[in-house]
Amino acid sequence: MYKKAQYSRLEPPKKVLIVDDEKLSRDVISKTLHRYLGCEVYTASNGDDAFSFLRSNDFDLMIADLVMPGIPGLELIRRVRFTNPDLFVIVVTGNANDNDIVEIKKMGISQIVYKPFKITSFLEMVADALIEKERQNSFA
Amino acid sequence: MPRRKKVDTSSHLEKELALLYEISTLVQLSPSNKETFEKVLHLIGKVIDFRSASLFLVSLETGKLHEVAKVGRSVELIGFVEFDMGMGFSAWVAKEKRPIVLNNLRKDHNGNHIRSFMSVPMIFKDELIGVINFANDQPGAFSERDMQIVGIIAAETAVTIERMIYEYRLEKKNDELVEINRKLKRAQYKLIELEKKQTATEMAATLNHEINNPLAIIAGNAQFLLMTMKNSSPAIIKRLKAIDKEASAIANITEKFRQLDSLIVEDYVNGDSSKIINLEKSVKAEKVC
Repeated sequence: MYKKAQYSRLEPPKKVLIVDDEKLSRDVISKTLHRYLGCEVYTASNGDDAFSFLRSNDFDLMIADLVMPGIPGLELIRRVRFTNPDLFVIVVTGNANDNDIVEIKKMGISQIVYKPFKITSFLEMVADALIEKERQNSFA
Repeated sequence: MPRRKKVDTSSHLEKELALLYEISTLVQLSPSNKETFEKVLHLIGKVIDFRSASLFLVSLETGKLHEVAKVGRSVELIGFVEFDMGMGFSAWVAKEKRPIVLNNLRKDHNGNHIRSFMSVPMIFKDELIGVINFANDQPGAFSERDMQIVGIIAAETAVTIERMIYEYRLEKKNDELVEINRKLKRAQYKLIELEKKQTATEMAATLNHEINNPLAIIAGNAQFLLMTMKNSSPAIIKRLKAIDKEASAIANITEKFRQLDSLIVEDYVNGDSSKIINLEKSVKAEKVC
């Protein structure tokens, strides 16, 4: 039985990929996840690097921005859905139009976070997603 | 009741001329309606001996004849026979565009006592306007002269009716133009609103992208420091909280921009021409279920 543990470090450490073209944004998210959830955090500044990472590494969660140089966020998620169908994805965006939201939901992603967000709420969402991923893995 | 014809030719001609003048004045000064047409029929009775008369006009909607005025009973022959412009002899006269006099009709078994029948088309510029029918229960009631007189009156009346039709069509066209103009104005208004909204949405999207990303970094760092530096001096905590609070205030505004649905613009300052978007009123309605 898994218990929701707010801000408690998850064991074993979970691998999270953060894809965002803003370095300071990647930094604050990665530091928070590492410090409060004990995540092993990897970052990519664009969709192409992220896709290469995903092909050679197993991740529990990807946190991706939508607007990025190279492969845009939506296209990255579309490709990932083929190559890593079990990967949990949280979309973090400064702005998304209605069409983007529909596309994201079509791809089975319900977690969309708008910037700026409350770190505490974000941590809860990530923790819930990682716990749910582990729960699904244990049944697989 | 219509009076009997007089035998005195010169006196009769005088009457005919006076009648033509009277009818001409009447149709030019009166509205083209049932009352006027009935007056015309009554006036014709001053020089033509008939028991009943009917005036038919071509309907603008159906193109068929319909009775608009009568004196006595409706006058029609072979009403059961259909022609292009309706039923009966009037429709045949309308089709042929020529007058006819039938002066020796037999009484039929249906109690039709018409022994004399005259039908005259009303024509203006070769276009059929209507038909005037006359009936008498005596044989030989209508003469060639009667037919000519009614022909002149019919032509005079047709001019007035044509004028009425022209006015009617003009009015209808005017109504159509007013309606088209109204639709055009509505479409223009919608287009302007749509363009305004599109511009505002594009502006909001750019604004959100450009503001929310750095704002997320400011707020995220402030919150991260608040979480990690709980033992710091109250002055630092206070300042970090102030940063986070103001970042939240800005975030509330950008969130409203994201939810922009329509543009509700209001005066910024009373008496000033500048306008401001009311964000509260302009956002989409919240989905509750």
